[in-house]
Amino acid sequence: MLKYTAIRTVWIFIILWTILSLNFTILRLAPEYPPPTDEEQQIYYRRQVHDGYMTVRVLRADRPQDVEEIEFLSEPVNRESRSHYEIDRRDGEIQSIRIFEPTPISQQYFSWLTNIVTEWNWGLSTRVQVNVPVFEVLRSRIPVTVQLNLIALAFYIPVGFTLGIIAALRKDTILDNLISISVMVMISIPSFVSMLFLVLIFGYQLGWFPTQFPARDITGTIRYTALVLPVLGLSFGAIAGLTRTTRAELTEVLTSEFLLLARTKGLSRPQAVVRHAMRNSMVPLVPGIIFSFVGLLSGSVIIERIYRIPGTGRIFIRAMEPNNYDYNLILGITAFYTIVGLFAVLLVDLSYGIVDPRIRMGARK
Amino acid sequence: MANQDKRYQDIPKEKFEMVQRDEKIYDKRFETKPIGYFKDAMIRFAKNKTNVIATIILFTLIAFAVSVPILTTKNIDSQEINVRHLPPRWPLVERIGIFDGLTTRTDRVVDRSTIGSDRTAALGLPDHLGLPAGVNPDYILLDTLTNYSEACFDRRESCFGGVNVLSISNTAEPEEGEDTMMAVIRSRSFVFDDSTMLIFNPDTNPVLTINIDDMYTDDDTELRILLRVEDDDPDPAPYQVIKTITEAGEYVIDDLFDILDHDELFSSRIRVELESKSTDAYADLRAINLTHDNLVGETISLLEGEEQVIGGDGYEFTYDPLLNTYDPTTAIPPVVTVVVDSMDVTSNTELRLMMKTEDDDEYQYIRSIIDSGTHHINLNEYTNAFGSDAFDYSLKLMLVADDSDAYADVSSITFNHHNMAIENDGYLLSRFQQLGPHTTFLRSGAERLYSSYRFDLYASAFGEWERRAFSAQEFYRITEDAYADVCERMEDPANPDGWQYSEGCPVIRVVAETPEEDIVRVPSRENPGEFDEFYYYHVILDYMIYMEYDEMPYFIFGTDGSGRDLFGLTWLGLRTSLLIGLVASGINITIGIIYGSISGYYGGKVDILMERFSEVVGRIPWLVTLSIFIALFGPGAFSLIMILIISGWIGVASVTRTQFYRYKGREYVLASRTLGAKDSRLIFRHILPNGIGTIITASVLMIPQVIFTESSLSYLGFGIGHGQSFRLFGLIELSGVSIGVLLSDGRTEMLSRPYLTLFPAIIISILMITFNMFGNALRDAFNPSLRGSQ
Repeated sequence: MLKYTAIRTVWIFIILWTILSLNFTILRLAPEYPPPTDEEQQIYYRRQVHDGYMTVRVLRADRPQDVEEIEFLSEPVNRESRSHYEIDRRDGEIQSIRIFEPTPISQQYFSWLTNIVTEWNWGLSTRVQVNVPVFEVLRSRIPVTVQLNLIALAFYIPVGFTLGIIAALRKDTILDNLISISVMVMISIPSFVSMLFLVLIFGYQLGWFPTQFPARDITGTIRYTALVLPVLGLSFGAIAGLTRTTRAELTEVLTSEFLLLARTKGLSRPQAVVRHAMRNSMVPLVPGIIFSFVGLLSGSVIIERIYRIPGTGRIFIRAMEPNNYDYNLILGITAFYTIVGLFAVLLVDLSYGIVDPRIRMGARK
Repeated sequence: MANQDKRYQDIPKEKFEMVQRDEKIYDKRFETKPIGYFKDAMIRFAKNKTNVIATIILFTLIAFAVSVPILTTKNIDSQEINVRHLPPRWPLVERIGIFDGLTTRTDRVVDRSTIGSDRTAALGLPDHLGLPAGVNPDYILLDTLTNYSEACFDRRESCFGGVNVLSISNTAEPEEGEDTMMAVIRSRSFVFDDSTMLIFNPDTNPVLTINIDDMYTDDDTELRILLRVEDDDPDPAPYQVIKTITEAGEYVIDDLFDILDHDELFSSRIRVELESKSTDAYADLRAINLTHDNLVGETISLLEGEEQVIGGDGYEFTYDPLLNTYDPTTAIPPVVTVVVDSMDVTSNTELRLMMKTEDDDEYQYIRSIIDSGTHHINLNEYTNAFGSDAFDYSLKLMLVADDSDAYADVSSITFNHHNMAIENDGYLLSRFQQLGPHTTFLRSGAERLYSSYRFDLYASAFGEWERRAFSAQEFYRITEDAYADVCERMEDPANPDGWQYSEGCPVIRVVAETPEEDIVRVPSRENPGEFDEFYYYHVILDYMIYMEYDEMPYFIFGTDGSGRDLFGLTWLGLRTSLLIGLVASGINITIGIIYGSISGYYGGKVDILMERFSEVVGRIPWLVTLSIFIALFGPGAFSLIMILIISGWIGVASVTRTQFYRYKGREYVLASRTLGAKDSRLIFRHILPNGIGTIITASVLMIPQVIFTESSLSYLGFGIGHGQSFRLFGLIELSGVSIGVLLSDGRTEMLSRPYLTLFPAIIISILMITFNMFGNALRDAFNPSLRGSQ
């Protein structure tokens, strides 16, 4: 078991490292979008040098060996697109040029890795909150998203279980059919469509709930009522999935021999169902729930956008605005989602052994 | 089940019969046809009625998506601004008030001048109701019209009454060398529109009245009224102070010409400045009003006139031109009242009213007066000059007669031009521009009058529309080509410049052709040395005929913001979504089958490596793939399809792999291998065909998933978008509209136009539900053991 856990953990870190490295390298190949104003660029490029993504050298007009190059660079055509030139002019004459040149991507990659591992430095945001460290930007957003998703989790698990159990116990009745149909409807409608319906009906038409998430400084009951619609929008698909698996697992267990034996022993039906059937049907459900949390989390990107929730998803959409990309932030956010997703995988792997001791992962046959 | 069992339990012995006693069974062919794998599946499929219904609905949707964009007669690709934002309208149910094409409009600002006016009286409205500004009352359901007021604080004209305070609230210290702080409150111009000047005519005794309700008073505070005479000089004259005010009150300036030392007609701009040393200074300037006297004419007579002009037809006498300004924002087209006390009627005497606008070179004939009496002449009935643009014009009277003894005694010429006397309760302040950060404008107690009403958007959209610059090419296409048989040109008695067309022609009237000087001439490409002429017509169109509808059309889903039919558009979008779903799923299935076959067939190390690879790829969150492809290639069809396939094939690969593990150890594979079959033959001829049923049924569910992702991405703006079109394999051309794009369009208008979101959302929901049911039914039919498990 210990060995298995160790192997799985290492493997998860390998995948994490692969994905993030791939993402970093490819995003470095895309056209750059530094901060928009000169002042912000000055700070940004000095920070780039400090972090090891760029090197800087200065050409002076009073140094004879630099004159030729200054002459050459005075034509904008001759400048490299990925380098940055701070040109100091006095009376129309170039006094000095400060050249910020990117280091090779392999070198940048190692700088990036060192920065993250040693300093937890994910770089500066370039467009969304200019020159603010990425982790600072995310720090205020992550709790919003995680809180919303945990509430959704706390809401959908009991609902999904209950519906699934009812459907399994009342198999092939009208109730079961009704639940099956609504499961089919909920699982089929894309979450953004169901969210649109919810906002349209309960927000605009009936006016029961706010039509968008309140700003940070607004207090009062609206903070809580504003959670209702996004939680519903998030959990529809998850409820449907959970109901369906619960029903399937429980039906299978209910027809199994050991339950018959339990009944024969003289247990009442509720006793048999709760003590024997439910416990055994749990096994495949726990991993399902962990995975569905990851699904919720990445699905909340679109819900956050519709309901204007100031979470990580919304900031991702802002960082992805066409031709206004904020790569460092994108990297930070995708890292967040990747880490959460992969640790969920790890948790699932390990939970198999805990939920059902019969399963010995990695055991030799 | 139990009942059935019982039926077969007690069957008497004699009912049994040996099938054959004398023949061996393997010699005989089956009399019944064996039920094949597919037939068996089909029977199972047809048993579940719900799934059959879902499948029928699904295929109906697909049929619509294929046929509607081809068959529709309505506009689904070009902009038609006139018919945009039409609400849904359905035949039959519109009679009971559902989807009747009417919209309820609220918070529409009321045009106060219509309250109690002739216009509302003619419509049968009570005196207290006003019409909304800028809306054609013909299309309002008048019994639903109500007016109500709400408080307002802004500076627009419609915000009416109340108290306005302009104040200097400068708390900063004065700069060195300056002992006063000056806030300049400047009007862009006193008149209502930048493009027009306020005209002071010495003949009309202009009186300027300035009302200051309240003002900060100390020795150093003064409010100055300045005026600048505008002329053609590129360096305009400086503003001259015409009044200095130190305390509240009403100030009347009637000696403006003396103050300015001017004696001719001039146009001007006005500006107000408040200067003070105090930081608390303010001036509550309510209004600056300008009133004109009426123009009073004199007796003109050919006998008395000194300048007798003898024209070709007889004698003419010209009365001095009267200059005036027309501004559509403040004035209605003027009515000229000419009182003729006596007139010589013997010798074909005519008193002609002539008008010249600033664009004209010569005076245009308006109307003749041939007898004495009071004549009200509404200039708008005789000329089309009074449109939406402001201009200066002058009028003159001309006496034409055969006989030099002719005379006409005109006692007065009055312009009923009452809006020119500007009288307002304070909105003029709204026209002042605040200069500098230190002035504030406060308004309290003001109200704005709103109206709410039901509006017939369809009638409005397909009614008469005026097109000022209607291209000549289109005009000839209609009148001489497409509608040549119904467009019969006729004289327009009301308008000598234009003409009209018979009924049934899209062009009702031509108001004017392009004036000669406005024709654009461009050197011709085909015939060097010559010029292509581009000109246009000013026309009134019947939009229903113009849009080629015989009767008022039904847009059952309404129209979008560009005037396209949402019904057609939804199906077009669905077709795009379906095609992208098919293509992406096709690619995914192909890759998945090949990958899964190799991995499953070879097993061992190859399998382990390939499994690890697919695990890594499958663990990449969609946000990562999204960011990579959007950053490298930008949003669009390519990125979309790549995002859809980058990890989409993994499911198929794993199903295929399982099938290969199941079949690769079977005897027939071994036999074939022993006979020397190559790996490719074993994979594609022996193993794959056996597992393909399971693989395909598992893959059917991929199409709705892909559509699901596609619409989500397009909704977020990372997929396709309007105006794009792309080709798949050079064969099928897709438009950039998908359901996600339509939903994204409707996002900002969920409150005002929910139908833009509602209908596409319903359609995609039905599609997804039926597709999933169809996929599940197919899987259950082919693979009954999996029923209900997923």
